[in-house]
Amino acid sequence: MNYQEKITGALDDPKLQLAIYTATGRLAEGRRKAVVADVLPDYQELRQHAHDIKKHTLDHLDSYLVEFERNVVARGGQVIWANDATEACDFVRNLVRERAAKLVVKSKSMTTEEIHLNHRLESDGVEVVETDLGEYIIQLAGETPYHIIAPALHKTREQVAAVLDSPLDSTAEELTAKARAALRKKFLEADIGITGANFLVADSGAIVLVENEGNARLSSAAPRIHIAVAGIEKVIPRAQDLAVFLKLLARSATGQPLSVYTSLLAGPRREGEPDGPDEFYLLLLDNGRTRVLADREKRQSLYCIRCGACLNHCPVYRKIGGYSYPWVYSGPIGKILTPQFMGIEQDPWLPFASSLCGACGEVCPVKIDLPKILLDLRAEVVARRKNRSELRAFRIFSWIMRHPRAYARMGQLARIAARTAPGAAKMFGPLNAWLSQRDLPAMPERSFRELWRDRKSGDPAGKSGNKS
Amino acid sequence: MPRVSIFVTCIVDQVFPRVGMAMADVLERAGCEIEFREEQTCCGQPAFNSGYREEARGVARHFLDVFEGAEYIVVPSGSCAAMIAHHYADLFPGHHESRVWEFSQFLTAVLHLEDVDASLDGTVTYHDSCHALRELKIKDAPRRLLQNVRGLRLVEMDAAEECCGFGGTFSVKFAEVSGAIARTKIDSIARTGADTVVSIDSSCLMQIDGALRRAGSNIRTMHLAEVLASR
Amino acid sequence: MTARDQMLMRVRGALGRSPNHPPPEPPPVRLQIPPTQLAERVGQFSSALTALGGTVIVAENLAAAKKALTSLVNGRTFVASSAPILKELFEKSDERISQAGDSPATFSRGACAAAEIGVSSAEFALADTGSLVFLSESRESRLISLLPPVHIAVIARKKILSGLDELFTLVPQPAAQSSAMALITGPSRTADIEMRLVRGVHGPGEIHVIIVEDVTTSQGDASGET
Repeated sequence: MNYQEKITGALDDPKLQLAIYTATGRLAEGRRKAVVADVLPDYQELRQHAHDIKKHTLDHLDSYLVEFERNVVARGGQVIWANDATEACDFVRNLVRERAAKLVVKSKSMTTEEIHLNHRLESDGVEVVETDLGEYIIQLAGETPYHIIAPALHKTREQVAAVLDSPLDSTAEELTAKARAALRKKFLEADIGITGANFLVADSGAIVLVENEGNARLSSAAPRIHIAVAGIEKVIPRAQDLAVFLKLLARSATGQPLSVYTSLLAGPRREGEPDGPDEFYLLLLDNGRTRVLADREKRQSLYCIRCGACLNHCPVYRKIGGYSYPWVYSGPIGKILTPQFMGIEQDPWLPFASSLCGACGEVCPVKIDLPKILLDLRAEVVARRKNRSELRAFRIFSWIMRHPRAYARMGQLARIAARTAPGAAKMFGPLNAWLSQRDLPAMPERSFRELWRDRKSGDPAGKSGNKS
Repeated sequence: MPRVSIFVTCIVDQVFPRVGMAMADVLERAGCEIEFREEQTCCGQPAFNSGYREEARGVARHFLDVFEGAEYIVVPSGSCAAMIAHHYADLFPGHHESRVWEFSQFLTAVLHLEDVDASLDGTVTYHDSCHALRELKIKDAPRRLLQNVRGLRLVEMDAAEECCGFGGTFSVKFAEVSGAIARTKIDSIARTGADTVVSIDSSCLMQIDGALRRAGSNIRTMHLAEVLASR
Repeated sequence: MTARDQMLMRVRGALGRSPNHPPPEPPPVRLQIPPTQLAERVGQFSSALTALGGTVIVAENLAAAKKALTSLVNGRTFVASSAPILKELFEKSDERISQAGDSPATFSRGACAAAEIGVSSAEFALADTGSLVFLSESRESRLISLLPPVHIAVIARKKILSGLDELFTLVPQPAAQSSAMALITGPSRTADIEMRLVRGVHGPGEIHVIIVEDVTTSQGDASGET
């Protein structure tokens, strides 16, 4: 299916439309209540501070990566550097083989989706179990995450029941209990636990895991081996910086002041600690991030802390849903990351699939200027692709708008044509597209400049009247 | 008496001229001396938003030439005002524009007027156009002006700050999505029970009106200027 | 060239930075501790956690805490850590203590998995969010507050801090103390099925906190704190 078919498919599904709109609306309302002035008076200041920390860190990322690695090793962990998806997956596959691991439990990680880790492991004959409830459901359904933080947003309860092989009238509580029981066994039997990481803390050699269910904690605590996979851009300088980031992340994502579980994990268990993994590996992934890093204007795209707020506020995402986007990251952040990772020639339509409403930039907790980057990407598409007819049209537009008399004349002709041959509008592609969804305005007989001239010459008919 | 140079915008000039006339009426009644520089055309936004920077720059240069020396440039559009006030700096590095005012902003922030002695009977709901809201930070000014219109009852829709779905060429490049967004908007409008929806942007009004007419609704659209000119 | 070399080279190339070039000072740490009184914090913590579906009991002293704990446990199976504050609340001979106890040798994952209740101490609590703070250095296992469906935490009142800012001021480097610090804010939950809130997905669905005002032990020492 091409993107237009996917979009049409999403728009034509009323149940899906309701699910997306309601779920994102609820998350957005949650956020609003959590950051409003009387609840979080320093919200704007925190956003700016978070932005500044991310800017500083990424502008000097090499130093912070080296410091982070040093501290992970000092805590007894190992850092594995992976240029791309293949190297990252190969490390995991080799470790699995070396340890004769048969069962892997995973907590939610968009980064592991990016590198298709599950698929690689499964084709090696390893059992990989997603443990986040939403991810577990879509794994059983053979699908991919629909939303950065709500993977099964598009599924109704009946659909979930069918996937879990339960009676269709099962309640959410019953379905959750069934999943919990099944997954409990997996946690306790798993050889390896794989998580992502919300933050990599340079001065501590630690990762931060933020979640509500407890499956990330279980995945990192129960198996003997813990592998955390993270993009290089997740680094922050100090543990103390978490006081800023943690205040922003859950509020922006769901409206909770803090998510239920926030873990700061530094290496494997230490001497004397009763439990925890014996081995800890931090898999540092590039996979195109250094390319984004090189663009000074768009580097800020990497500040993203994966809260999903931009998705929840995007009028386009709220209609077309996560599956209409070409890559694992959807919504506004997906729109700016995809061209930068995949190359803009791959999906040149993507930056244009926006009404430029600016809501994304307004709600981003780290103040990524998403609207500006979208405009920049549009200019890049135009510069590369040379859509001949569109270029011609805009050249003509520019010429007309620089020649007032020609502009006035064209306007006159267009208005006459619109009134005398209204059906002719259908001949023009853009007008036809407009008409497919809404009516055209009635074209006035005279333009403002004509009316103004009359008014200046004393003609009372030139005055505005009440529209009623 | 302030001398105001009005930039009516190409869409008002050609499609919604009454909006321009209404704005002129309100400004004149408020004591402004109005000039309309006839060489004006467009701010260049359609080209800029579509990625055609060179073509936009040509149009923008024409705008700056036409309005050279003007002290106040008042615009009945948040998106055009934002284009000039914020994005001309993207086209001309180092350029700084401080003369441009969206109409409601000009009334309240420069003329310090919140009551223009207007009257219009009816129930009105206000749509926050995105560029005005997010780029120019216009939220309260239009509402205060509306609240002072005699006979007018202002009600808030639940999705006031949600985009109408116009987005310039987006409305035709992604017509289906644009239409779906518009329908969500008009549902929110209809839930208020208002007979009129008001905005400060004619492109939003064109989108919303088009959707209302297609849906067979009786709700009408009015630009803020038209409401404020009503007596 | 190793992958490490390649990646660092690309990062440096992207940033125009040379190796061994230390970064300038980062933006200053931002920690702003609101001025609060302890009594206020206890009240705030209670409200915050109760709103999330947890329960909070304030016990005057260890004897009262023991009573409250017994009443909560209500005959169900449990495991408890050997944190000092808990030692006063259980009979020393109770083997259930050591099963979630202070060393890998005695820790029994099976007991944790089978128990209906996990009883632990908490290093700190955060008043503004109703959170508990755990550091495994204090000999709390990770799984005790995770596997059993009910979690009871006992904490000395004076350990209740105002929030994250105070926590990170007191503990600027949690990783130095422990391989795992956990902030636990209410019962485990999900809204993954039709946005319907369900508690107790993987972690405990019930959380009870006993705040002990006076942790002086029967021997007269204040070692009843963790």
